[in-house]
Amino acid sequence: MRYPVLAFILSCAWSPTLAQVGAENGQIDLSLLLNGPQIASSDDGLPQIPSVEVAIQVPAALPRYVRDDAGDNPTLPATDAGDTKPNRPNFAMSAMGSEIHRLSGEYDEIAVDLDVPLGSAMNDLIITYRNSINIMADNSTITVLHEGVEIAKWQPNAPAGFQTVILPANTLTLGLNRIVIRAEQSHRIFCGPEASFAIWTDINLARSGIDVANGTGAPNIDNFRRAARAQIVADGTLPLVTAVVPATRLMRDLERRSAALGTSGPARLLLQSPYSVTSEGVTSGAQARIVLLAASDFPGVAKLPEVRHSPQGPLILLMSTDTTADMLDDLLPLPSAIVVPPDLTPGQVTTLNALNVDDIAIRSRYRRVDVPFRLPDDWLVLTAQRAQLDLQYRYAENLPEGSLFLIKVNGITVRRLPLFGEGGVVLPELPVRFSARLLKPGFNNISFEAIIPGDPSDMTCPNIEGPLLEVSGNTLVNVPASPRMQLPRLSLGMQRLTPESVDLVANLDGPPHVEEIATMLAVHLVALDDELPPQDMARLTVRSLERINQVPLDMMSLDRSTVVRALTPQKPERTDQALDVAVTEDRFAQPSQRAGRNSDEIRSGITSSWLRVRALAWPGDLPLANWMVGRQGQALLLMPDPTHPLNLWLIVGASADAGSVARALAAGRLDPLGPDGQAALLTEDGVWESWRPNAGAPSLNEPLTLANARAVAGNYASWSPVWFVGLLACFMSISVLLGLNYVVSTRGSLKR
Amino acid sequence: MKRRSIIMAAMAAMTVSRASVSFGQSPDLPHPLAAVWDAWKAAYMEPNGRVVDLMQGGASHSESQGYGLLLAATMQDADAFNTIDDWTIRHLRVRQDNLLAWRWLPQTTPAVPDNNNASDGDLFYAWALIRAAKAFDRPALTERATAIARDLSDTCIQNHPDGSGRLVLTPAATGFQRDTGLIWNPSYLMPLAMEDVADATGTDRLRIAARDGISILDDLASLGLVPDWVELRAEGSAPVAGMTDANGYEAMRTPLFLIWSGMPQHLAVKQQARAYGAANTVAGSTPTVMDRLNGRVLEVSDNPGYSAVSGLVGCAVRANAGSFMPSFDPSQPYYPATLQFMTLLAQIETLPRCVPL
Repeated sequence: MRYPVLAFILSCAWSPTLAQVGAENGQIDLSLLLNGPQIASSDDGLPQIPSVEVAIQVPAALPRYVRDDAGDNPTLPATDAGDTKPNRPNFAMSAMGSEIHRLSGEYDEIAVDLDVPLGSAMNDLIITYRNSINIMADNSTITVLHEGVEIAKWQPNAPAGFQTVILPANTLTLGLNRIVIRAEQSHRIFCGPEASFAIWTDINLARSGIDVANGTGAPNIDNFRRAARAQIVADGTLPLVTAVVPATRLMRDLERRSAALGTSGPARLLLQSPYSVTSEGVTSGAQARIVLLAASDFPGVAKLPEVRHSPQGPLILLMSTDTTADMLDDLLPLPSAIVVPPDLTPGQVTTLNALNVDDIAIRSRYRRVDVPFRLPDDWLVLTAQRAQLDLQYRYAENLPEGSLFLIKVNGITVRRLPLFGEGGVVLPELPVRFSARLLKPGFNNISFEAIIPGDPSDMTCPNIEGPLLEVSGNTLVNVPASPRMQLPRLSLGMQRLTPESVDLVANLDGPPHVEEIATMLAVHLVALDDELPPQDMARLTVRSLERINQVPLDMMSLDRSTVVRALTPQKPERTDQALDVAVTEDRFAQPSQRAGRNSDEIRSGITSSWLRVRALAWPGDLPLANWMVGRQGQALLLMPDPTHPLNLWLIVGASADAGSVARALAAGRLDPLGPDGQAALLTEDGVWESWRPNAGAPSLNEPLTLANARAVAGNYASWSPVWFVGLLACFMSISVLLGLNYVVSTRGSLKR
Repeated sequence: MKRRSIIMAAMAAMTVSRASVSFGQSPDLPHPLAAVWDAWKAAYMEPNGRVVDLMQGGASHSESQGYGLLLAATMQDADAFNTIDDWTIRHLRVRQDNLLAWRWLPQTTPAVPDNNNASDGDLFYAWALIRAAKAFDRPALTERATAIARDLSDTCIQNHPDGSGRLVLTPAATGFQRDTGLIWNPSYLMPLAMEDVADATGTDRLRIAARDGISILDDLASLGLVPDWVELRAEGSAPVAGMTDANGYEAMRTPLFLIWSGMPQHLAVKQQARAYGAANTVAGSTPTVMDRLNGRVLEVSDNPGYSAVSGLVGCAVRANAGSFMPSFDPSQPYYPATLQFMTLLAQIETLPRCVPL
């Protein structure tokens, strides 16, 4: 012992103090004993006693461990410097969206309503972008506008990967802020439609938005929604931590509510045990999660959900099994009905403005602008009646020869107009007539497409002030009226699908992906119509190939093997060599075999001829079994009974991806090229191929009158010319016979 | 993980959580920590039963073997239990008595350079044997535990120098004694283990030492946080020169063990909870070393094991349900991982309302 005297003195000094363990509040005042600085008490009343160094030899035999994980630097002072993991989405950001949005062509822009939550302390406005290497930076700009006022502009310079630009947020306000990001881009070498496709700027919406000061993770509703949104953006999941089995209805309800958080799609609820294990250091729920406690086990947990802030960072929505759906309405409201395209009233002239389309200005060498609208479900024109656009447009001067303006209806070009020769002036109104039968009941698109080649194509585009093509919002659209008639169509039932429409596989013994598809459908199928009464809702039954026996295929004259073949990925096609071998082998077939094959060919020839005649008599697709030959897909949508058009079935293949099937079905409701007819096959590429037979006659949903007789007759005649002609022939025959009978009977009496 | 599997596991967890779960639950249902146990074994236990602490140069010690054996017994994993036990007997049971040498070093000759024991390792070892005897119906394990308990009692329990008659569980059989007092590690005190071992083996001194240890903790907690090391003297207690008296990696086990022993409202737990609550650290990092008198944070870590301890301690002193304990992460070092496992066990066995949120 090196300082025995000191040790003795100090031990005496310590003794009355340290022995007073019975002090009521644990406070020990040493100021009278020590000639040191005044001893202050902390707010807790704990005395701050300076440590006493007593030189005592450390025994080498006592077990000692190295516990700290700081290596040679054992001291890591606590800081509050903020998130040091730049690669992880920071929920302290009000993001613009969840996906990467591409601004393509010479001129493009995106408008976002950026929500700055109440109580937030804003730091900066962040834009994360990258651009294609073909862009000539010197002649290109990215402009950011807030409520129409320019707040920043710079030349794009991020061809190697995403870069972040930090802009001041001092002009932004709490609540919604309209932000427009505009890209004006030039190709460094070429000009024309191909070059237009090759120049683009990607905006990472998930990493663009308002950077909110760290520490604003107060446990409130707004912050939980932001955190949940960031969580969904991060990995598409929202963990549900629970030690109880959650009801399926609750799961679906939560998933639907997550869709209203403003992400590109609903979250996948990730069930987690409270005692979960992270995988490879990655923890889901780093931003937000939901915790469900059993009310029976935790009676103290209130029914009303509450938000808590974990020290690890995430915000937690705590609810119990007694929490009812309406109690979640403030925290996680259900998504409101989708905003569908505006209605267009047949028989009335409508402007594009009335269809929510302002003046269209095209500034790129290639651009297509769609004008969606909705016709009544019982509008039907099968005849040669015409619809009309009264087009008001103009185009720039000196556009190169070959510049074209295409007008399309539901993807079919109805007019091609040159964009050279009379540029720079307002052109006289041009009537564009097209066959009304290109339109369909429900959702339709009229598209305006500009294709402007380079001048020349191997040089950069010349600067042209102003739009290359403009279409006025005063352009008129006139769709002829029709009697209220309907053909049995899948699209009618599709539009009546709601989250409650989906019949979940009742038991858990089916393939898990079918249940997942059904759940995803229930989430994605946000109702198109808030007011739809339950009796008008469609019903969608989802089945796997294993349960195909439950599908009424016989009502569509479809056999199981055809469906299985179509929904099962096939082996690669035979190579040419294999084909040559097959042909060679064929050459050496026995005569009897050749005769057999010849008779098969004859039979198939007769069949195909009959089918052609049949198609002329009854326009429409081949029988479904024939139509499906050679087709491949991941799901098949059916309307087995045309008399019950709201009863739909979905058969999913083994390789069907739950998310893509659900999204394709949801999007197909609004897409004119979506499922139609009485069956539709979803291909691997996400395209719907519709089977439109001529099985069911149109139904007339209003009384037959003199006023509508002609239109009704026209529709029936167009539906089946042979049937109609035959009917007319019958009437004619009857008329002739009656007439003959009259002539014969009266002629005899005249002679007498 | 398929939704159906999750639901089944969740159902199992639900069933477990319904009861006030204690050790010895129904073998028909998977333990809610089954996945954690599998991850822990894969990360820290070699196939031969050696539990490896990489931060100690890949060493194994009676603490790690004792902890591993306890976990295996609690999880009713007979294979793992036997393997750990077998390795431990062959490599650490080298003393004249029934206690274990405290450390085994790989690629070192001799692999056990120091024959001293660590009393917490022996205590946990005996406790594991007691639990295993019940779980696997092997009475012989109780006999082995009895032998360890008696040697612990004989060599590692001393009288408090203050003359109060209180018994102290020393850190080891040797090396703790000073002229002025004896060096004590409060975190070696695990009252529940000492009580259970005492009950099963009839070693009453262990029970007394447990209760007296709690009393000593009362003394220390009245001054602030419990320190890692302290010298118990006739006149009270004092820091040990050359050994940290901060509330650090050793002492953080004290509130955990008190909670596990059914004392969530002990002053030491409250002091720890207060210090954690007052610490101003970034999200995801936990204080691991604090000044025991003023709570100033001296070191932090982002290993979730330490956060788990903090979460359980915070919940223990509150009245509401749920604790902020992160998911188990097998990529962290052995020590925080094992602390996290024990924290989860303590929560399940004694504080079900503190279910991780």
